[in-house]
Amino acid sequence: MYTSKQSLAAAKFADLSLTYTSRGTPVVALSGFDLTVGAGERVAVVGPSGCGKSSLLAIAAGLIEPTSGTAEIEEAVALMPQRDLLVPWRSALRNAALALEAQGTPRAEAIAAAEPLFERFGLAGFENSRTWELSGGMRQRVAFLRTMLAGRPLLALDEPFGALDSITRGQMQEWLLGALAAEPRTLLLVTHDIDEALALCSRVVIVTPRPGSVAAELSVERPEGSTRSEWITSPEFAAAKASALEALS
Amino acid sequence: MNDEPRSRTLRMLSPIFAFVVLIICWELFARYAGLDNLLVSGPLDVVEAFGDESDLLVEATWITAQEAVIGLFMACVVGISIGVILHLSPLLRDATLPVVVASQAVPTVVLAPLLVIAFGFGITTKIFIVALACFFPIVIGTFDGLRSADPQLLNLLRSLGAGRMRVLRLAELPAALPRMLSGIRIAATWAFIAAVFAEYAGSQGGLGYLIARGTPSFETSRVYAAILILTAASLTLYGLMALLERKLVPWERHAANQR
Repeated sequence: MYTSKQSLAAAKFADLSLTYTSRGTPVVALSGFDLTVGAGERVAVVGPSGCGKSSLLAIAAGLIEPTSGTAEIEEAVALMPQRDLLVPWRSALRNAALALEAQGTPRAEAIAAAEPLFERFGLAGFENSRTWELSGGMRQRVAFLRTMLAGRPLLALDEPFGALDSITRGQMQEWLLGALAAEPRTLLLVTHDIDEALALCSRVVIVTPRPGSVAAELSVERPEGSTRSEWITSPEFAAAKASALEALS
Repeated sequence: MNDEPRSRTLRMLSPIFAFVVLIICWELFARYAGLDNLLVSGPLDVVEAFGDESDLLVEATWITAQEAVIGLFMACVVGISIGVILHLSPLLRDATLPVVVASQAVPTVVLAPLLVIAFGFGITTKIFIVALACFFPIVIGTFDGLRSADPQLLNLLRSLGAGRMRVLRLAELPAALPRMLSGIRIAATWAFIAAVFAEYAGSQGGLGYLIARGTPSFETSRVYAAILILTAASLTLYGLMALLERKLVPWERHAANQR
């Protein structure tokens, strides 16, 4: 079927349903889920645990097929799972390069492509670090650079900073915004942290508990040029958070 | 914290001390138990045998070492290959795994003479017997290791377009390395024993040959010397494999430290 790209959608999910079997009982993860992510947009999907958020990303990345409905993915997707999935047999730099090697890029070329990113995004000097020498925040940075290096316009991030303490998480959000400003990408972020969604994204989609469907949508009006700390302490942020909480309850 | 170096030294020294005590007891027993020197040799007799018969012992050690090391190497080649094949093809797994397990149920001790009859007295037969005795833990280590790769990592690589063989090379094989090497280390403890079994079954040289010939002709000191060499060789091979493991999979130690 021909689909026009007039809206410049990066990904379009229409009436999406997903049912899977867990220990013999069918679980309806998603039901009647609609979402369109525009090219270059930053969309957060927020909902309680088990509302099918991760399934949505797995569908976006082409790892699973929806039970019914359609997922039109116009932009190639690079997935960043919840866990950093760094491999201990590779150095930090070679872990990032893995995204290219997985696509068939020769090793030397992949390393050459990863090196400048380490410089640009504050990881210089850590190229040869072993994974067990890196802190949680550093590991996530390497995992994010690996996702960027995949060279795909749509980044699908699944609770990327969920395992970090709140201070490190705040620093990582700031770092991520800097990285995205330098290397703009479409962002589809899945999280259960409303603050994170409001800090990083321009549109927040609230999802109901299982089976997940869209309960509400908020557009985030972040003032141009405000820093992250200015933004998250502003009354506008508090108002946005209040309406998000209301939609969730 | 402070007494850690001391306790480490103590830990290193205590087995040496135990060995020394054992050797002294052995010497005292050989001298004063009233047994014929022909039947029991003391450590000093064995040391003498090392001096008097060094040419013979070196030659025998060289033969047995070749059989053990080449046999272990063949076991690695065959074991890793079978492990990978079992992993890649469910059909071949169903067909092959029972055969592999059955091959271990047949005792090598009784199989060895039959193999010598079938394939002759040459080194090839010995290598074959060593490989047969050693390959099983390597198959299991490889197979389990390949399956231990993180499924989420495999998904990530697949989502980037990596095919079956690339996933194997980039994720499964490196993830399998620790268990594979553990399998090889276990196999290494068997290599020399298997080589001696093979020589027992029929041979013209080697430490097993010396032991088999020396025992009925009361060359007790020589037999003891051969046994000592065998033990030392086995330990050395095991140590080398443990060292290889340390060098190749440094992350295993760090993972253990974090727990």
